[in-house]
Amino acid sequence: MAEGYSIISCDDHVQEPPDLWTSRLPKAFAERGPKVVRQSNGWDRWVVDGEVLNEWPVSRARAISNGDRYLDIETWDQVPAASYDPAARADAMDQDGISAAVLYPYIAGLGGEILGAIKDPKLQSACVDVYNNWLLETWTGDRYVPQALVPISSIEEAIVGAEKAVKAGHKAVVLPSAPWRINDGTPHLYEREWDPFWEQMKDLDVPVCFHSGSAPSLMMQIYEGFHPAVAKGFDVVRRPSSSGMVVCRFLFSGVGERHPDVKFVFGATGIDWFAFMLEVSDHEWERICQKGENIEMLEAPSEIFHRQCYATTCFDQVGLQLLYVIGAKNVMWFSEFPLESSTFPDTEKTLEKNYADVSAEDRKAILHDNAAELYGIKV
Amino acid sequence: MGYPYRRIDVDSHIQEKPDTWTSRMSKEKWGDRIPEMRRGQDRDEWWVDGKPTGYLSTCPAVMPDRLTNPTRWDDIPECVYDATERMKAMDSEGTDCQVMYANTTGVSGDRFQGLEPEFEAECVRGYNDYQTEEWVNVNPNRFVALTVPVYYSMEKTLEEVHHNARNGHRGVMLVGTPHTRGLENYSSPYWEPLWQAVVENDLVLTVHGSGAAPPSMRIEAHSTLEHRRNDAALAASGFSIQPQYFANFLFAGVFDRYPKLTLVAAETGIGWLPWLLESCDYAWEQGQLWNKGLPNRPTELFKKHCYVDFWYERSAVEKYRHVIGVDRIMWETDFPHPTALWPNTNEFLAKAFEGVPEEEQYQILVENPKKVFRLD
Repeated sequence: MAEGYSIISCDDHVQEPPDLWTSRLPKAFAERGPKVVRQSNGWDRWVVDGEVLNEWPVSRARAISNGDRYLDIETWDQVPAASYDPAARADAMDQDGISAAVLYPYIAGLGGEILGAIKDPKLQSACVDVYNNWLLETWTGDRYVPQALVPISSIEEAIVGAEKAVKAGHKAVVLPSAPWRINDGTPHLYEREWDPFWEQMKDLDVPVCFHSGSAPSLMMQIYEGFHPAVAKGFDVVRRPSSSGMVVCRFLFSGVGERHPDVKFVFGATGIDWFAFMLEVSDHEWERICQKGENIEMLEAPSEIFHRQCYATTCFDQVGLQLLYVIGAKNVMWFSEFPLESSTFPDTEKTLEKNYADVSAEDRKAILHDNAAELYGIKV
Repeated sequence: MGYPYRRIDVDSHIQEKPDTWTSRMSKEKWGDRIPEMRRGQDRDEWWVDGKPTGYLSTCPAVMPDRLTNPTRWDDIPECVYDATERMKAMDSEGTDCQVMYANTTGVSGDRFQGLEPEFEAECVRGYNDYQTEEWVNVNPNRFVALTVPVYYSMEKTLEEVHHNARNGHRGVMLVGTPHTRGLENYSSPYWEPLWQAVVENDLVLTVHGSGAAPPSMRIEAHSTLEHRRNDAALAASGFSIQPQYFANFLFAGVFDRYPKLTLVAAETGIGWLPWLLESCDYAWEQGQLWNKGLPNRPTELFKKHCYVDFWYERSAVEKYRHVIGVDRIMWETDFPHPTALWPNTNEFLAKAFEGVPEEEQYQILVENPKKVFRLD
């Protein structure tokens, strides 16, 4: 390893196999859980509780499959094993110089939002259990860091689900960024009703992880007239952009202040815009929240961020120049393997170029130490 | 001899007067639908199309506590709605020229879009003529007008553009996400005649802030969110929407097809620009988008066609101005809106410009906007 230490990707995605839920769900739910169905146009699509997910290709593992990187995979036979098989993935990771990967789902939602949108609480809970169990059983060993989804049909279920999952071995909990937008069962994430959940997360001592794009309605629609590859390109830009809204709003929400011991990871944000967000948030905090009577927001947004939050970076280079604003210990690198926007298979070259002016200490923090410490990664 | 500009402010807001529309629209035809400021028992507010808007004026920067908007018309300082008084306020801080955005008409000129077509057209014309007659004509060196378009038909859009181009307007002020307002996405060929007209009339396109983006693109306030936190978060988070509409323009190929088209984005800040440029370029390369109808690298398009501005940032001015291009950057005060630098403009500028060579300061404050807005 050129680095002298291992490179950890804090955000990669596993591909759930087509029979994951059909084979593992209780009989009553087996046909309603996510499954792959050949459509009349010849494409395979996932169907969840009767709804065909036309916006989602059957897999987004274009970084490692043949063909134009930004054109969608059409059928399951085109899906490479490294997306769903740990041994094949390990080979791909070796090829790219990655030692360990923190895992997010794919069709369960980049941040769990597909399962989170299932209206039937029992079905949702059963599907979440299947995913969580499969992750623990399949993606074993020091190289894979499993993160659990929790049901969001109710806060109580989320609390119980988090405890169950972490006790079983998951290293973090993944939540959709705006659960109230996709499921009527839970209120706005920043309402006080969620406090017992954050308390539970503090007791469990594992991070809460959000992923850009897990609140689909937050993003600008993709123009239907775009060439499919251009549409993909637009998505590469819009998705992390929309997470700027999530992070900024989170910092003003009061959640971090009430739960200072809980760590929050914002997955797939990029960091090129991060210093700006911290600067303007602090500026507005000073200008507005520090004026008038009964000043009640006592900590600046950047203080809250630095204490307990993580931003994530993939191909950004320019943002690295402002690490002194963002905080090198608050940044973790990711590949987003095997999505099309991943740096695979050019990660080593990309990192060499992008980190040329970054201090050795900061580089090690971002590529290894921060994630290793947060998730207890031993490689 | 050209006007001796020292500082041009590319985003300020003018308040429409109580008679802006009542003096310009036919009472016989429109009756009490005409936009009008009405004094109420508890508060004064604008009525539009026969309905109360809940809006009076956005001008906290010049109010005594610098925080609260007025609820009575008589409490609004004259410099908010009167050009002569405005110039005195500008003089007190050393600003020579202001590019104008609206208040009542909507910061993105969006107030009347979607209303009954002819009504939309006349209200929009009222605002545009108000700008011309009561601001630009008072001193054309010191006030720059941007045309709010009529949106309901391309024919009317073009008519409005031509009318105001003849009257010396310098740009067309667009909403950022038309496809969320019942209009076509800017990527659609529908807009080609507008791009053509803008170029032919030597105008620029402008988008202000998040371009009147729909509420869905913002994380909503939860029920117990203290109002100051909400106001601060609202102001701080708009930057997340801007790269999205920018990328929409870039990937639509609009600049590839109209090499003379200019897009000026106001109230952007500049610190997020590297994200837009890096991510668009990364996508363009990975997706080989030059083979898919986008022959030009997004960063190159940006550097030929787009402008952004800042007002109170520091780290980006220091570290990013060359990444973005000093020739792409302008400056604003946002007078008299909540985030306005007033009355500490000079202090903010000094901080922001620490370490920036004078020629670059001058380029940002004067040369770029002079060129963009065709000021002599």
